[in-house]
Formats: sequence, structure tokens, C-alpha cells
Amino acid sequence: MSIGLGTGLRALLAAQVGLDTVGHNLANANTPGYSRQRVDLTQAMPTSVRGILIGQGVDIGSISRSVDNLLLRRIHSQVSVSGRLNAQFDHMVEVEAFFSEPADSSIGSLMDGLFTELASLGGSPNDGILKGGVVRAGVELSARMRDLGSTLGDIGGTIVQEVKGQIEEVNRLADDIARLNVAIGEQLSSGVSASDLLDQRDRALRALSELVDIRTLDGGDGSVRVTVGGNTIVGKAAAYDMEFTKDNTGALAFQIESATGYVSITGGSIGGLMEFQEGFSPQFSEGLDKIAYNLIREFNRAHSTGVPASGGFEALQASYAFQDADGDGTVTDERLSFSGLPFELTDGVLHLNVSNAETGEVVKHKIAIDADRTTVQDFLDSINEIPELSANVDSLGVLQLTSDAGYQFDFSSRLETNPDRLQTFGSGRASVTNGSPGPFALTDGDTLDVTAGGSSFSINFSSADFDAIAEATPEEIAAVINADPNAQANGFQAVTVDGALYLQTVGAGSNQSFTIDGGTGVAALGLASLVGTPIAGSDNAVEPQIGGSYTGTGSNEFTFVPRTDGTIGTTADLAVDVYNSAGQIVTSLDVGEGYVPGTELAVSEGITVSFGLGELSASHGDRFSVDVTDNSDTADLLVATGLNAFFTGSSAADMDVRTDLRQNSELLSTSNTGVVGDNGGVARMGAVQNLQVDELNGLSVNLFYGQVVGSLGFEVSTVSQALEANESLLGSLDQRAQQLSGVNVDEELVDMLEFEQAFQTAARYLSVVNELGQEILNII
Amino acid sequence: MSTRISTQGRYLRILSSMNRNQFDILRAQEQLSTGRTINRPSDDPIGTSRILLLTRRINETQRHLTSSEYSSGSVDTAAAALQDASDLYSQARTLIIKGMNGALSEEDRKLLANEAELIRQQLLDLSRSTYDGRYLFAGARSDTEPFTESYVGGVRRVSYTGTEESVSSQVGDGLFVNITGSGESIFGPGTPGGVELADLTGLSLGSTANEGSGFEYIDLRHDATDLSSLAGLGITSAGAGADDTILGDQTLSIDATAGTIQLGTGEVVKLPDPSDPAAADFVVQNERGGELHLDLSGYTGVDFNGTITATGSISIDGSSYQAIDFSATDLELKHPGSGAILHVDLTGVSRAGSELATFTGTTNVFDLLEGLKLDLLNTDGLDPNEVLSRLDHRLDELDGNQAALLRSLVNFGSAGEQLRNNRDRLSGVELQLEGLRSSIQDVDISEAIVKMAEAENALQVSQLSGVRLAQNSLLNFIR
Repeated sequence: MSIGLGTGLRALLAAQVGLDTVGHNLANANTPGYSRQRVDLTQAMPTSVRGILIGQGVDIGSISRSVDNLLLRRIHSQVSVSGRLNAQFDHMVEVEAFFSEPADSSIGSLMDGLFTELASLGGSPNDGILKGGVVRAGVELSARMRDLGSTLGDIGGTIVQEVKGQIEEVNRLADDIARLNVAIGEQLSSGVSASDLLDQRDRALRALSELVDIRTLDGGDGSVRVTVGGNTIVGKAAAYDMEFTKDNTGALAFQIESATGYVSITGGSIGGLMEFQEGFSPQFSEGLDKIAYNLIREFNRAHSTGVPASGGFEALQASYAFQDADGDGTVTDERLSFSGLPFELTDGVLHLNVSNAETGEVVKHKIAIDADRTTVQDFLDSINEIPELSANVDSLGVLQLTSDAGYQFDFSSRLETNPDRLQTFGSGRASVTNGSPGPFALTDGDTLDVTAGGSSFSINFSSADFDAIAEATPEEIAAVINADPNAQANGFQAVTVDGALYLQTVGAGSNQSFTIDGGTGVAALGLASLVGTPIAGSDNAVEPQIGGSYTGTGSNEFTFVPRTDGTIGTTADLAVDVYNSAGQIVTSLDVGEGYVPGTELAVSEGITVSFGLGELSASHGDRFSVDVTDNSDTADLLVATGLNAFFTGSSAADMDVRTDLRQNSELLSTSNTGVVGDNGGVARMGAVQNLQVDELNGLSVNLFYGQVVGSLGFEVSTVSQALEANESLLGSLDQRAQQLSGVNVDEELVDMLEFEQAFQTAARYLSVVNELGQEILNII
Repeated sequence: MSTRISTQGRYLRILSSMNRNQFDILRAQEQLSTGRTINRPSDDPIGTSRILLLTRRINETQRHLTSSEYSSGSVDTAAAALQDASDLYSQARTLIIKGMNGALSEEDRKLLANEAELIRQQLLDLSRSTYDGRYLFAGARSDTEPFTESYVGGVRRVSYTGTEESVSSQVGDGLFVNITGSGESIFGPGTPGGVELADLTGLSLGSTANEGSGFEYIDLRHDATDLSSLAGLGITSAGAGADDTILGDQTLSIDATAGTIQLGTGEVVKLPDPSDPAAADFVVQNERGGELHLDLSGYTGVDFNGTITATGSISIDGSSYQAIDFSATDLELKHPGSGAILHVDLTGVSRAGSELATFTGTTNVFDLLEGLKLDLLNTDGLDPNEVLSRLDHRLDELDGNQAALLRSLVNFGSAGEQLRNNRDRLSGVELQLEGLRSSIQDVDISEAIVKMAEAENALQVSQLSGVRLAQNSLLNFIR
């Protein structure tokens, strides 16, 4: 009888627990991370009654979670991937929006805008409004560049903040997990099921996976150990704080209390943010900087060698300052390549033209630059050697160039129209050379006796005037002669042309003459053969004129040398040989009988020359040279210092249009020659659009930009697709987990009906057992 | 294992499919509202790159097109101006030929001279043609009138102040068109050929070459005539030789029997009767028309065959004279104003006068017409044959000028034609590129609408099915 009551009671209790569990399940049907619980019923052990085993009904074994732990681990690792992609995607979309392609306000359109303005200006190169348009387009482009450049830079800061916040979250979750580990351990050891705590811990692990890529290991006693990048962040009962620091290279890094080294995080949203910060973001901000850098350089190359329509410059200031790289307090001793300029210099030549504002006469000067050896001071000296120019570096290291009043300067590759300005080619001056480039083995105290201007005098060579008097250069000798007071008083001077020393009268005309009378230095100077021969000037000067425009590439120097003595257009077979800089004959010009003085003759590569009436003397060493070049700054000095630049700055974040140009668009260097209709400068700037730049993988700035935007789109869409794929994978994993662990309300309702019926049945059974008892009692 | 469906999972699934449907609708709506299929690079990275490339090329084509149109205007204006100029050259040519007619009166010549001046003015106006405020024939110096007038040695001359280089405009990839021209080569012949003398005075060129442009007048002045050899004949100089134009040594033959007189190899003329009033100032001319004025009123009737001598001076600028050395074969004359240097041989000089020296192939049309005007006005009082000789030189120069003008006209004409073709081509290219870009970038509206309708349908279906699913619960049957 008592067995029956016990059996009934147990059945009743079992049904009640079953119903409670159904209620718990139903209540948590929508709780995320909740695992369906089920009552495990077992049959109670039978009891022996007089040798017969009688079943004692049902026993409640335990209430268990329906969970697949392996699946959960997979889900956690997939959550990490999702977290990483999500974090990247959010910021990439932001960057994509900054570029605002394809739209009219984008950098690509603004670059186009600049070239469109230039094309309009090309038609009317002196139109003030169109010049303003070019400058404005440049200002708009650089403003957009700066905007985008600084925004891309700012993202970096935002991300650091975001990562910091997420690390706090990581530490909080790690603490939670450690706490749960302890609680679960306690519950399990007291034999109680810890389903709900386990669910809580799984939720925390999932949240942690979203932030970092973790590995979980079973720690025994129901605890889990969590590692990040191989370092324990949650132990059996304790959590270890993660910290955001910088490693010894200054890069962002993570450290965990428990470990000594740095932890690498590649997954989760923190991993995603780091990847964005270190990979994606630099790729595009560097791409943008590269575009800005190369655009600035190429555009400045084109602009700096141009001349404003109003003529050359009276003063120019560099955009970039020389830096005191060796820290000795002066910048002038720095070598150009190592003077902290943002753009690179190469070995080459800078052509500098000085024009007389009144006569329009242009004199070309060449300054050779050895990028690794020429110092700032050397460069300043070279400019200061030009009589009409002065250069200095101010206290901030900024180069300043100024011309004397009445003179202007520019850096264009224009031709020197009057190349015989030293008058050594059939000029009116009496002029003669020994033809030798030296050096000359003079000795201290050597003299040169000359009769000129009606008086005879002696010029003394003292070793103090030479670096080494035994190896005197033509320039040094010329300096001594020109400093001699007698020479000055009697109109006698020396010049050097093409490396050779020429002695000549200052005045021109047939009444001008001089004679070398002798002196102890005559032999050493190679003038012995000329002693006693009067050298006379002439009334008619040949005055060669150079015309045309250079169509060749690179630089060249044409040297014109008469083959015999004679009068232009008169002497039979008088010819002028033209040599190039390699010393080869380019052409021979027939200027003898039959040549009409003033007729243009083709020399080479678009250059023409014409000779006026006059007498050439091969025996007196007549010659002149003309420099031609298609690039007047092969050293890139103008680009490097930002002299006559269009853009300033060297990256997207600091790109701008030169201040004085912004204020006065008339300074735009539209021409090659300073003639108003000359659009040579505009054409060169316009050509930058399609110029293939080595540093941009041989692409033009525009095409490279297109490539950057294309790869931006490609990366975003790749991540977006990966994200989509991952979400669906995660979805299906979640679905599988749900299949096992999720609550199905209908199922629970069925269970509920089942337990309800079980309860009713047990109650009925008890009642029957009770009635049986009553029956017995009634008998008594 | 039988599949369990969790209730939460069911709702999540309904939610996610509705989400996806709504996203599709949003995308379709965005495409419809912007009219573009690509609204951000990630929509279609390859398409974006192509759009960027095409946009750059379209913009470049448009730039070339704009510049072609602008250049066309400039080039056509220039060609029209040169066409007008060419007509004026023909008029000038006709005028010179008219002027060569010996029968013209002084009055007629004056009229022609006026006409020459008019043509010159019209040509100067044409040379100052502008387009969009730019001088078309000043080379690159397009803000300055290409030709300026000045007086050099009393002669009005025109000098070119422009540049040799022209303004060129880019109208295609590596395609440049000159939209201005160098006035110097358009209005000048540009092929120097040396000096020619009009051969009035017997002056010839020296051995040394010469330098200069346009033309110069070399003035040979008669200073005095030495008639001492005629002293015994009773013949004296009329008016002290003030009107004589002979120079150098001249043979004079007087044949008393025949009653004739001959100077040099000039015409043999009859001697007047000494009592004739005309005998007081009788003129004999040598072969060049050099005049000797004789007073024959005291002629004693004796034969004479001997030499008389006239001295003179020479000048190129009309102000500084030097005495003529008749043995000089290579005298250098320098014009301080124009810079011209001439070398002349004086041994053949037999007549005073203004010798026209033309630097052939260098006279611009304005100076040419100025010279022509002076020739026609005949300020030097030359006889018709001598004027004709000068006009002949002018005609040669004009031919050279006309050839040069026609060359330029053809250049501008063909540039205009090239620009028109280029414009047509560029328009075609632009259209093609636009079409290409549109096919990548632009939305096919009907397609997008259909897509949107599809997405809307799908949304409605998932909403409906979701609700239906939610309604199916066991709860409905438990009471």
C-alpha cells in the first residue's frame, strides 16, 4: 500500500517538475542564448517485497540543457569573423563616402575641373578671368584634398578611441566569465544543475568573441579557460586585464596582465579595427598622399619654369624651408639633398634667365647642381655671382631671390636671342683668344704687356690671385686683367667664352685696337704668336641672332665657329661650323658670297640663326655658344624648394595653392617667354594631366586616382560580400544550435499537455490507492 | 534526427527575410531616384573605374571640342581677313600696272597715289584684325598692334612688333593648331634675295655684301660742274650749274659744222642759234638723262671734243653727305636710322638723283605701298621711264608679298577645314563615350521599376507568410 502512495507521489512530483520546466522554457522562449531545459526522468529502483521486485515508479534524474558545445565553439569563432568584418565594413563605407565618387564634388572631378580651366586659358592665355579660374580650380582641388586627407587622418584617432572602449568591454566580460566559472563550479560541486549559469557564461563568451578572437578550453570543474592569441585572459577563477599600449616601434599593440609580450589580435571587432587602422586606412590615405605629392611635383615642374605674361620676377620666395639637418645652428652648410626639402633633387642644371626690363635683352645663366655635394651656400654663391641677382636664406631657412631694379629673372627654357653678348664672334670689339681652355703654367710675378687705348701698360700676375698660379684658369686670369687699373683706364678687358680666355677692347669700332707687346707670361698664356700683331675692331658687327624654338629632347649646346677669316655674304666659301655639346659637327652654314645677311639658316632641332654683315675671324678664335634645353631645371631645384610653385605642401593634408598666387592670379606662369599670347606654360601644365609618372606605376595622376577609387570600391564590396556570406553561415550555425537548444512553443505545449495528463493520472492513481486504503479501513 | 524548429528561430527568419526584401526595395528606389546604377564605388568597382576613366576622357574630349570651336572662330576670322587682304593685293597690282602707263598725267598719278595710300590703310586695318580681343597677326604678342608706323630718314615705315612664334591651341591629343600668325611672314615676302638698284644714276653694287630690309634711297647730289675746258669756246655754265645733274667725267662733243652737240653717249642735239633766247640756258643730256645746262649765247662756233667734270656728294639718309670719289668701287654707306649697310661701286656714276635700292624679298606690303605712293607722286621729278623702272621693282616685290600672303591664307584655310573635321570627329567620339558611360552608369528605368515591384511583391509575400505562420499555434486548440 505504502509503495503505491510513494509511487503516486513521485509521479505527481515528476509531472510538477516537468510542468515547471515547460513553464521555464516557455517563459524564456525569446531569451537570446537560452538553452532549452528538459527533465530527465528515470524509473525508480524496484523494492523487494517478499522476494518479488516491485517498481517504485518514476524518479527525477536531473534537469539538463540541450546544448552542443562543439557547435557553440564554432559559432563563437564565426562570431569573431563577423565582428571583424562588421567593424571594418562600417568604417570602410565611411571612407567610401568621403571620396564621394562618382560625383561632381569628388577629387577626380575637381582635377578635371583644373585641367578644363587650363584648356580654356590655353586659348586666351592673358585673360585675367580665365587665369583666376585656373587658380580657383587649384584652390578648390587642394581644399578638397586637405579635407579628405585630414578626414582620413582623423579616422585613425576615432578608431583608437573605439578600440579603447572595446577593450574595457573585453575586460568586463572576462571578469564576468571568471565570476561565472566560480559560481558554476560551486553549483556543480553541490550537485545542483548549473544550466542557467552556463547559458549566461555562453552568452558572455559569445559577446567576447564578437570583440576578440578567443579560444576556450575546458578547465575542469565546469570552468573554462579563455585565451587570446595564446595568452590567458580568463583562468579558472580569475580574469587578466588587457591593455592598449604602443610597442617599441611605436605601433599600437595589446598587452595582457598574465603575459610579458604583446598579444596579436586578428579577429573580432578589435581585430577588424586594427586591420582597418593598419591596412586599409593607410592604403587609401597613402594613395591619396601619393596622388597629392605627384600632382604637386609634376604641376610645379610645369609651372615653375614658366613665366607670367607680365614678364619675369623681381622677387621670389621659396615655399619650403631648408632644415638644419645636422643641428649646428646654420642651414647654409647643409647639402641640398639632405636639407630637409620634401621633394627630391637630382644632379642637373638650373637655367636662370635675367632680362633687362627696358631693352628686353635676356641673358642665360646655368647653375650646375650636384644634389649630394652642392651645399645651400654653394647654391647661394652661384646665384650671387650673377651681377643682377641676389639670393639669401632667411632666419626660417626660406630661400629668397631678388633682382636689381630694372632687371627681372625667370627659369624658362627660352632661347637667348642675342647669344654673342660677350662679343667674341665677329663683333665690333677687337677680340682675340689663345683658344686653349688652360690651365696655364704662370709663375708669380709674370707680366703681360699690352698697348691699348693709346697707352702701353703691364699687367702683373701674382700668386695671391690664384688658387695655384702654376695651374691658372682662364676665369682667374680674366679676373686679374679686369681688376687691373691700367686695363680699366684704357678700355681693355678679358672674358671667358666656352672655357677659353678672350682678350678684347671694351669699345667697338674700327678705331678700337690693342697689341700684345710681350711680357714674361706671354709664353705661358699661349699668346706668344700674337705678340706685336695689332688686333683691331670693326664698324660692322655680325651680331648673330638665334630664332625658332627647340624641338629636341634633353639639353644641348651649339657652338658656332667660323672656318676661315672673311666677311659675311662676301668672302667666297666662308662657312660657320656648328658643333653640339658632344663636340660633333651638327651642320656647316654657308655664309660666304651669295648669303644675304640677315637670312635665317636652319641649325638643328628647330633652331635657326641669322648673321648680320660683319667680319669673322677664325684666326682670332671667334666663337659663340647657345644653350638649348627642353627642361630648364633638370636638377628639380625649383620643385624641391618650391620657387615659383603653383601648389605648396607635399601631401593631401597640407596641399594648397601658393599664397601670393592665390591673391594675384596674374602671377600664373602662363608663358615660356613672358609674351602675353604665349601659352607655352599653360600647355605644359595641361600636359600634366596625361603625363605618365613612374612613381604612380607609370600611370597618369588621373588614372592612378581612378585605380585608387576602383580598389576602394573593390575592397568595400569584397568585405561586404564576405560579411554577407559570413552572416548567412552564422545564421545557419545559429539555426542548427536553435534546432537543438531553441524552444519550440508547440513542443512545450505538447509537453505541457503530457505532464498535465501525467499529473492527472498520478493524482487519479493516488486517489485509487487512497480508495483502496479506505476500503480496507471500512472493513475494520 | 528529426528537425526541430525553434519558435525564436522562426521569428528571426521571418524578420531577416523581410529585412532583405526591404533592402532590395531601398536599393531599387535609390537607383530610381539618382538615375544611376552605381552610387558608390563598391556597387560595382570595375564599373566605377570605367566610369571614372570614361568621365576623364569625355571631359578631355569636351575640352578639345570647346577649344576647336574657339580656334575655329579665330582661324576663320584670320582667313577672312587674309582673303580681303589678298583682294587688296590684286588691286595694288592693277594699280602698279596702271601707273606704268607712260601716258598718265601727273594728276592721274596723284589719284593712283591716293589709291595706293588707301589700300595701305585698309591693309593696316586688316593686319590689326582681332578675335576675342586678340590681335591675330601679332604672333604671340596678341595684346599689341602688330605693326607700328614711324618715320625713318623721312620715309614712313612700318615695323613689326609681334613675335615670330604664333599662339597655338590644343584641339586634340597631340594636335595643335596655330590660331594666330606672325604678321612679319604674312605681310612680308620673307625670302631675302640681295639688293637691286633701280639703275638711275649708274651706281652699281660694291664687292662686299649688304645688310638691310625694305628699300633705301641713295641720294647722289650734283655739287659743281667744271667747264674750264670750254673756256675758249665762249660757253659758260647756265645758272652757275645749279640745275646740272651730271656727275663725274663726261665727254662733250660739239660739231660746229653740223651744228650739233652730244654729252657722253647721249642724244645728239642741234645747237641753237646763239642769238636765240633759249641759248642762254640750253640743256644737253647724257645717256642717263644727266643734264648739263649751258649758256651758249657767247658761243664762238669752234669744234670741241673733250672732257668736262662734275663733282657731287652721296648720302643714304638724305642728311649727311660725303663727296663722291668716282674711283671708289666698294664705298660703305650706313643708314643710322634703319641700320642698313650698303656697299656701292661709284665708277659708273654719271647722273645725280635718288637711286632706289631695294633689298629684294624683304619689303613688307605697307612699306611697299608707301614706296609705290612716293614713286607715283614722283617727288624726285623723274621722267616716265625712270618711274617705270621703279614701279617694275615694286611689282616684283609685290609678287613676293602676294605669294607669302597666299601661303598664309592657305594655311589658315586648311587649319579651318581641319578644325571643322576635328569638331565633327570629336562630337562623334563624345557621343560614343557618353553612350558607353551611360550604359554602365545609368539606370534602365523600366528594369529598375520592375525590380522594385518584384522586391515589393517579395516583401508582401514574406509579411503574409510570416503572419500566417505566427497564427498557427497549438494554443489555438488548447482550452
